[in-house]
Amino acid sequence: MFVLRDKALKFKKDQDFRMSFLGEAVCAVKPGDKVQPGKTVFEGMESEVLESMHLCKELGVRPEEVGKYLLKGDGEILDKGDEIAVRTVSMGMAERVVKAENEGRVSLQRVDSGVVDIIGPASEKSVVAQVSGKVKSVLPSKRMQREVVISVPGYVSKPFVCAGENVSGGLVLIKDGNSVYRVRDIDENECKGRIVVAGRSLNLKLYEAIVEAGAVGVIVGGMSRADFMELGKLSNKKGKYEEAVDKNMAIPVVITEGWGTIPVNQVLMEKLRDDEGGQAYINSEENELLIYDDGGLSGSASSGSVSDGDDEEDADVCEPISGMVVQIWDMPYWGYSGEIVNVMGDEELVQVKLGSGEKVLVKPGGLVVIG
Amino acid sequence: MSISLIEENFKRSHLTVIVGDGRMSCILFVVDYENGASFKETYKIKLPENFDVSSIDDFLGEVLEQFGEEVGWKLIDKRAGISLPLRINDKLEDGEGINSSSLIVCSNIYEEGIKSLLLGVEATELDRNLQLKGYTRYLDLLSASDMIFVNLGWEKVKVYVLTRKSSPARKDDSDKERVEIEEFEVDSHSLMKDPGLKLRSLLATPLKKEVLGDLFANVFSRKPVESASDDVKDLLRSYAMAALLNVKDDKLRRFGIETEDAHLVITGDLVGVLGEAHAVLGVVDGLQLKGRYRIAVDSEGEIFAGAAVLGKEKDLGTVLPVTDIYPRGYMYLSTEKGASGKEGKRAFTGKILFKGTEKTNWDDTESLIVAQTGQIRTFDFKEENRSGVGMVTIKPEKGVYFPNMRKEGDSLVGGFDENLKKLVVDCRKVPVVYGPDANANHPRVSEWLHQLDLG
Repeated sequence: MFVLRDKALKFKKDQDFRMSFLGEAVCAVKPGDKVQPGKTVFEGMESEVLESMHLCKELGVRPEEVGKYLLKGDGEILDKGDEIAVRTVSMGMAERVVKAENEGRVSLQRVDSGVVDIIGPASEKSVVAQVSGKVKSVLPSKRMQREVVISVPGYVSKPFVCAGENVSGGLVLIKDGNSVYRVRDIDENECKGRIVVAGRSLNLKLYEAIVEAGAVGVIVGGMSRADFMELGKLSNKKGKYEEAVDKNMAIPVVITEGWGTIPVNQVLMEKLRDDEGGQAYINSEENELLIYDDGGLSGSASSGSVSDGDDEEDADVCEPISGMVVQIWDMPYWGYSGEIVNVMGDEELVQVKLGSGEKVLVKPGGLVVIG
Repeated sequence: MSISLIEENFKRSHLTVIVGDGRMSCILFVVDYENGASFKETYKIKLPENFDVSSIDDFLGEVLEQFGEEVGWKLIDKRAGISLPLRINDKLEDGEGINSSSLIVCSNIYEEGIKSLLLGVEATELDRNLQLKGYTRYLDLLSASDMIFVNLGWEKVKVYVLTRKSSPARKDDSDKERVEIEEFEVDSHSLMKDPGLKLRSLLATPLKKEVLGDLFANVFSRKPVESASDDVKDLLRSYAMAALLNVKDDKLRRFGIETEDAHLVITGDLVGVLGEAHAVLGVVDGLQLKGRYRIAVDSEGEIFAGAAVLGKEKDLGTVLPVTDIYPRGYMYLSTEKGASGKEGKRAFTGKILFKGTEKTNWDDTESLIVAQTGQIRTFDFKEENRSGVGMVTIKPEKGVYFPNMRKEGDSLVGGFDENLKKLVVDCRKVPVVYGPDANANHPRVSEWLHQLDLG
């Protein structure tokens, strides 16, 4: 028997990595410049986000309806305790009121996604590079946002779904990164400004909590399709979704494996764990997740089971051999990954040991070698 | 049905590669005409997520190398790390080379001008016209009066109903004049919108609505090539059935009842995942077919390959016997109006009479058959020391009626040949009832699948 090999991670040299600055800024680099970690990329005036409020949850409405209940306009100054939004419920017998917990100004930049931010006064700020590479382009200001594209090396994975804006940030894991988490597991201090690895299942409550914690993106193994449709920007590309629903997402979501509760595959998870604190870039346009890694250039990849896409590729088909890391595409272990422990050629079956230690038998057509 | 397409200047080995929706199938036919031996090997593999059909040789080279090793037939000559085709124009040495090949690419991923240097051919698009031509050729080659081709695809379920016109046809009549063709198509997207609602009454595995929605979307996005999971098979059987229930036509009502020699062919990318029993049950109940007809289940894509090759007139000389591109099937008999009264009563008694291999004393090689109302029973045609040719006689009980069989005394008679491997007698009450939900379906569908022993 032989099976398909489709590496979960590929090392590539010249990958786009975008850095952005929200506010008026001067770009300190130009195309062709080399950047190193610590080099200033933007200098300008930026207002810090003091508080993000996911008003859908507070008001009990859909994201696109939040605007109807707002009492404050964009840029309006707030004192602590000021009412931001009110919705009358129970036939006028009760009200849901959302109050500011901080002083600042209202920012309605993400109101279409149901999020209202309270921002502090503008102050001088510089953004420094966290990666080394070559500046590919400097993009003109768009909706008060400047962007620079830097060409960097890193490990690329092709997730099941990448939805929302393109965004870069440091990686952080909730606990071990691959369990089922609840709202109480979210630590605001750890999540702020980061891309959060949120385990094997993302529901709407957890997503809202991650948004409110100030994260800029979320990576998860699986998510219920119904929940995703509630918040997502769906398209009909590659037959993955059955209908188009165009919505703005508060922060981008990367679903690495599929719909439902599915752990992130072992190869990618190992890399995410090893690189916690490192930089990642969610490229929704290309449906890619890039984990920045210049160590791969010298061949010292932290994970032994990732391929180097710029060198000679491994075969696309191979004989299953004990020790190979595979992903199962059959029920009841849809999307689970593990290691081959036994190949039963006569029965055309492969025995796979999952991360939990459980051993399962799979038909070769129902698995793909990912390591 | 001993039909050969081989011309005098026949070739000895032929490799067909079919690129479908999410999968690639390779079919190697090898025939040694000196001693009459032949073998056929097939393999299917899932395509990578980023598969690019325009650079097919990158992937195909590796597949053929592995496939060749697996079946013990050298297909690729690997020199200095480069894969070269091993084409032989004259006589073959044992175990190596291909004389001819064909590359068939399904319409939804076909691009103009795709060539394979490894196979040395340009890709043929398996479009509607080519399929219809091929299907019409099958109708002729099998001498069938009527054929239904059900193509179970990930994007669409298509049904082609071919009926030979009753008026005598001239030899030079075009296909259009000789054969009536009707086509039906159901888009999977309409069922994907709310599978929980649309499949609820057909499923036999109780799943929560949300889990069902996720499973349905996962399966249709990953497009597996095979499955060991009853959940996946049940989902796809329900999907096929739901799609086919939308097909309404008078010819379907006549099929098997007023037709002389009718064939139902089940093909498409889903068949390999479904398995034969789930595919047959889904299609027969989806189209609500009754009576007497033959069923062929194309798990490996042979009929696709055959249709594409048969559709191209000038390539006929490179093809192998039609029996190699048409799987051995089943003889299907079912009650028309159903058995009245309670289930579990005797529906019929009968015999399978095999023609002896040397002598023609039919009684020496008979098999008794019996079934109860509400059941599906499967009987083997090919038993040891038996020729696989003969006839089935059935003596129905009162209130049980099998249509479209020849009457001899108080028995009903139908013949079979060596291209049929099993007899399936469906004594379920008509109309076959599904629903209202998976819990209600679970015991009866499981039993039907168990009884439909096509393994």
